[in-house]
Amino acid sequence: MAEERRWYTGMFSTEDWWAFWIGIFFVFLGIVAAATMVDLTGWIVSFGNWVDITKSFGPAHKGLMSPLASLVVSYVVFTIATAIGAKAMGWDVKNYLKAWTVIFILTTIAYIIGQYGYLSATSNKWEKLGITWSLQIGGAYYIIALIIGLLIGNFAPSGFKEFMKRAARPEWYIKIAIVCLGAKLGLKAIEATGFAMHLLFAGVCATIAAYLLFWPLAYTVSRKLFNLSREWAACLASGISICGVSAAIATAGSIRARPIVPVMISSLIVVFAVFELVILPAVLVTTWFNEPIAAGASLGLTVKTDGADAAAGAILDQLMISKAASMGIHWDEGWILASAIMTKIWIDMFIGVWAFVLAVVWVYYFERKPGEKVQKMEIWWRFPKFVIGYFVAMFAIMGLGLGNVIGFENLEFGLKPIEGAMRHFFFMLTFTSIGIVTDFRALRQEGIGKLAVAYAFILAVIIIPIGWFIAWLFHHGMMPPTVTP
Amino acid sequence: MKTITFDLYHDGVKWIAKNGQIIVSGETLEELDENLKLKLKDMFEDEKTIKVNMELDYREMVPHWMWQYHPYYFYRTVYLELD
Amino acid sequence: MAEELCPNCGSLMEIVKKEDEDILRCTSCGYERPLIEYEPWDPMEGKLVKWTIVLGVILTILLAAVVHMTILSQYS
Repeated sequence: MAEERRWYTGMFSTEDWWAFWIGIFFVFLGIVAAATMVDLTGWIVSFGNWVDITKSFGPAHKGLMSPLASLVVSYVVFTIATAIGAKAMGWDVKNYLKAWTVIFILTTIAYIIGQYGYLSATSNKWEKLGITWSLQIGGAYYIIALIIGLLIGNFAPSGFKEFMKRAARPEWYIKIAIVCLGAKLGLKAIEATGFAMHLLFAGVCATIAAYLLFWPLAYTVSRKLFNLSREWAACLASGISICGVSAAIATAGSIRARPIVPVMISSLIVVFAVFELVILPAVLVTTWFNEPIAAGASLGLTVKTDGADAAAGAILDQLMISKAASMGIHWDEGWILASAIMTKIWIDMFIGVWAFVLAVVWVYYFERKPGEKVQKMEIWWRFPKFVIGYFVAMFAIMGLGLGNVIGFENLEFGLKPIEGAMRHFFFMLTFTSIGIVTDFRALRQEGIGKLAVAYAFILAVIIIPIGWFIAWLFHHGMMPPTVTP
Repeated sequence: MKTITFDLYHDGVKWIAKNGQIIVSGETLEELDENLKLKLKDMFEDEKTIKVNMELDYREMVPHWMWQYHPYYFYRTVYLELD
Repeated sequence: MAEELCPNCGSLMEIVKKEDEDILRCTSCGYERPLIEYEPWDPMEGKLVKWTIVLGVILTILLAAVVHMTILSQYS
């Protein structure tokens, strides 16, 4: 039975909120570990470069337990955490658990393969591994996970594919990972408060500028060049210029479009996002190596969906760091990724604002119906709740560290497994899941042709060039802090 | 002021608003609102204005792979003048 | 769900190509209508687009100046 929507509606029944709850729980666990120096997080399985496969993974805190034990404990704990969320959201938990287990195993395999020393070890690790060369493919494990997922998504029998989709939740996993990333930024900000705050402020400014230029141009081209109707043009413009699927749904809802509209546009967005996450990092590391932070920020403005943007940012981070390491420059891991996430997060927050603006225009002008009111609460209802987790994690840890409530070394002890091992693993789950849910045959769907051409044109002619310019304008010259190898 | 909340669906042809035994439909949202007015006028003779909330049943209307991207589709609030 | 039913007879409509256009055609009664209907440009759309771009350009210039003076100047 329908209930009146309140500010707390969905708090225990949506992926967005459950990303907050799960992410914050683990961050809290890390803080308690830091405060008490009881090792509550060192069990999390961590994967590293290897030549001897028996050393390919182990607990984040070495020696705490055997590698296999840490893998099993991680599986059990993450399974319990996500199963609680699945149950609360009313999913078929049995089927979820079966599919989740398969995804967990496939992700683990991809991670192990991708960390093979001769494939991905950067030059500063060769001596420790006892090797004298490697292909230095930064982020190889991400690509392998994506390929495994794509093979399932595009070639597996449809029954198996549908079964796997029950646990292939890229947006959920990446949102949990982003809350963990908030913990990383919090730790980094203690050491480099200035740079972290600069990234935050430059990110919000770049997002505001890009947003207000992308949408009207994408909308006008959709209407005038491709003759799309208002509902199709508005949803496409939002999907391609703001934040992918979530923006397309929010816009469609705000303008009361038929559900077929965001569903078709979303199937397109998901496919194009995969092309972007594979192509753009490679292009950027080749052409824009001298502006790593601007390059990262550009991904947040141009790659749609949180999952694909974070994935692209993670790949770019690894590619840039590997290339820099080969030149003797040792950038601190995670800042380029942070710049990609930062612009995306600000964009996520503005979805609700823009959806509200469009609702006002549509409900009070285009589709005027007597008595209908647009509620300001729409902005909160559409606000991405996982972003709250990201900022709570970041500022709580910053506050504890800068206020000397808990020492920095203690904070690192408790939180490094969360912001490192757990975050990386949930990123990996995202890559595998993105692959599973991406079916390139969506491009052959009847009716998608005109939309696909419009999408590709707007992306290539408007979004990417303006996105790169805006990212450069607000981030040029910023370089990631360096570390001693 | 009385408030009633409906589940909203679209069957491909028309919008349908349901609250228990109360089921009203319309090909456009405007038509739906008019039909709702007529129905609620019969049921609540003493009320001058009724606040009607309608939330589109997201899980019925949108494929499950999309749910993770956004928490809901739309929620309308309409003040229906019954006199 | 996100499928279209025929307003004539209620059967499922499928998306097909007719000449150069994508249309929805009823599998039972043959009723047709465009998938993406043409709508003429409304003055309100012009206002929405124009003022958003104007705001975008003004804010880009202002915010770029602020960011450059307060942040980027430290990295040049």
